[in-house]
Amino acid sequence: MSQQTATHNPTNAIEFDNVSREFTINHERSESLQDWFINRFRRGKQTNETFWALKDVSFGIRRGETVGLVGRNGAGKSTMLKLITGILEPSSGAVRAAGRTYAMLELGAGFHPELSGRDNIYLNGSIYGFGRKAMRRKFEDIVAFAELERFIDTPVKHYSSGMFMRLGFATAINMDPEILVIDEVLSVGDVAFQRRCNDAIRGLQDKGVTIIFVSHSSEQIREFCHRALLLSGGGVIADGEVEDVLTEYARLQLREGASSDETVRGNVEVLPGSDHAHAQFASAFLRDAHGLATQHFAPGAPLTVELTTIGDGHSPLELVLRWRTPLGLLLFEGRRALPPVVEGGTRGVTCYFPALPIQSDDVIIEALLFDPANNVIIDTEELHLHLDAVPGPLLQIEHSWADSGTRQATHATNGQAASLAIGVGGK
Amino acid sequence: MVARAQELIAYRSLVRNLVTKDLKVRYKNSVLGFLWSLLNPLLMMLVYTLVFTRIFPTNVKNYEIFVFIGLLPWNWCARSISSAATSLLDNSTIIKKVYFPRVLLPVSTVVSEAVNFLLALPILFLLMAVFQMKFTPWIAYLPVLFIIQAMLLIGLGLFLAGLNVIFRDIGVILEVLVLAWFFLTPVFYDIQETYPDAAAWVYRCNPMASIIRQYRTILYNGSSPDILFDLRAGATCFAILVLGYLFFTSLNRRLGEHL
Repeated sequence: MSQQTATHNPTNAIEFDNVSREFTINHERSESLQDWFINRFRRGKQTNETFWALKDVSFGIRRGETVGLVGRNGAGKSTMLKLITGILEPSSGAVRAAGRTYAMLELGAGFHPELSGRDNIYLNGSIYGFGRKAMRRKFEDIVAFAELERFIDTPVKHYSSGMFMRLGFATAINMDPEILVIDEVLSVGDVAFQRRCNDAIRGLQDKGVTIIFVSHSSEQIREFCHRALLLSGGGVIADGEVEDVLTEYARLQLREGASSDETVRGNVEVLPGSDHAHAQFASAFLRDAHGLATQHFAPGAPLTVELTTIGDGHSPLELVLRWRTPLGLLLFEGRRALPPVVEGGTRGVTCYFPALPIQSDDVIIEALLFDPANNVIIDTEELHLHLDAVPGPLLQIEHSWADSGTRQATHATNGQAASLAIGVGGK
Repeated sequence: MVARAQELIAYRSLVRNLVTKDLKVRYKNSVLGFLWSLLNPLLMMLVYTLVFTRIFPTNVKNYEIFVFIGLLPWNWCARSISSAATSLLDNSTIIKKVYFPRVLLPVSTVVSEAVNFLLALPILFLLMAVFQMKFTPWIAYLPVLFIIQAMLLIGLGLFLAGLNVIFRDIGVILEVLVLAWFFLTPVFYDIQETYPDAAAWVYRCNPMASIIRQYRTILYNGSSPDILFDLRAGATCFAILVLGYLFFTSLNRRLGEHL
């Protein structure tokens, strides 16, 4: 594949040599024959624009390395993953991935709802080139990891989404990948499932699997990765130590966030089997003491988060509100149940904070629409709160001091120092 | 090229699993299950027999067998083509998430229809016995016709599957085209009897007409196949297979983006 053997390094599992990938933006997608004929006669007016999802990217990833990929939506992360896995081919340059590559872009992507768990495991195995014999050996491990012994002959359409994800994950990690690409899939499921996933990922790391890890959670990147790449505008703008790259990413988010009022959408995908395809956030605002929508706040100022959701007429949802620092540290989490709303109807919810406890850093406020019955995140919104920061510690925590009395050192004979007790009165 | 071929061989279990998936899913929710694939051509045969012995009487002897031999390969053809055409769109989620040779999707739809075709053959032999038709050793020639037809269908399937990704309205046009093709193919009539002058041209332009003619030669007439005729049909079908494959691979790099 790769012609440029000059940069070829045998210790690398993945190599990008001046890779560019171009996409055509069809203003009017010529997907029907009618459009195609019309476009033949409008040659003068070229409606196709191109856009470079990746431009001249070169890097190498060593065998056994776990590399975190960070960047805002549209930075080129997905394109890079698809190039690594061979789903897309580069427009120019060469991509070299040495070894069996498995992409966890979506858990259970290849599952057919009518087929049983057993049939799906075999089908999925053969999508990755494993024959029947090889799969028979893996089958027990997969079923045991997924804890689906009793339901393995039930069509997966009857599975709960938790069971579905367990099966998807168990199948994925048992495909003996040499290169594993993980896109955001670890952020689904309950705590117990996530812990099992994390352990399994560590097991793969110990076995020397090369892992490319995309996550919006800096905590996960810190936890797993040896190295991080920051993508922006189709290029790698930072490459190195995880902390350095995350700091660079935080700076980038602030710079770009300050220039726009957009709310960044997360890319948690709606799982098959979930009924909430239409439940989502309609709007999200931060309001100050006067009720004005703004992103700039002073430390100690009151804050109102105002969210509007569009209902789908189904089961009740839960609204989760989180505060994070730009580096991803979770500061606060609050939950509120949302009763069902008729399909297409909206519901407004506000959350009032009497005083911002942060004084030296910005805050990213994350709102999640969560379906507790199916354990699925349905929609996410992200708001950036820019603080008129004052130097000092991160938090100003409400507190009060009190003297709890003094005592003189009277017994000089045993020479003990006076003990001083300080009571910290928290409220 | 060699690497491509090796890859396809490595993925042969995918074809098997896709085919079993197809068959399992299709018959899952019906009471009669796989019997439908046998009943369907039988019922069709009854309809045609009713029409062409009562409403428009024809001179063809043992019309039941005549039409049944035409219907089996035709059903294989028509169903393969319409499901191959949508095979990439139907599986777009997997294509966008996993790498595997995409050629196998249209190929596996043709293969699963081939399985249905083969399963219906015993019914044909049973009917032939009931109608006291003579069985000749030329039945052993069936695999040759089977391979010729498989090449044609895979070639067309690859071509249409690729085209359907670029032009989504292929599906709508295809329905009409397949219907037209059905009438232009001597499935329920005998071209030698209706338009003897046009017969040569029909065989030249329509590979399915040639293939069905040859099925009838060995099964209905019980006579020796015309080897030269089959060589020509085989060459045409092989050319269609190669062209379909080349067209598909030329699109392959754009698939991830167009779906």
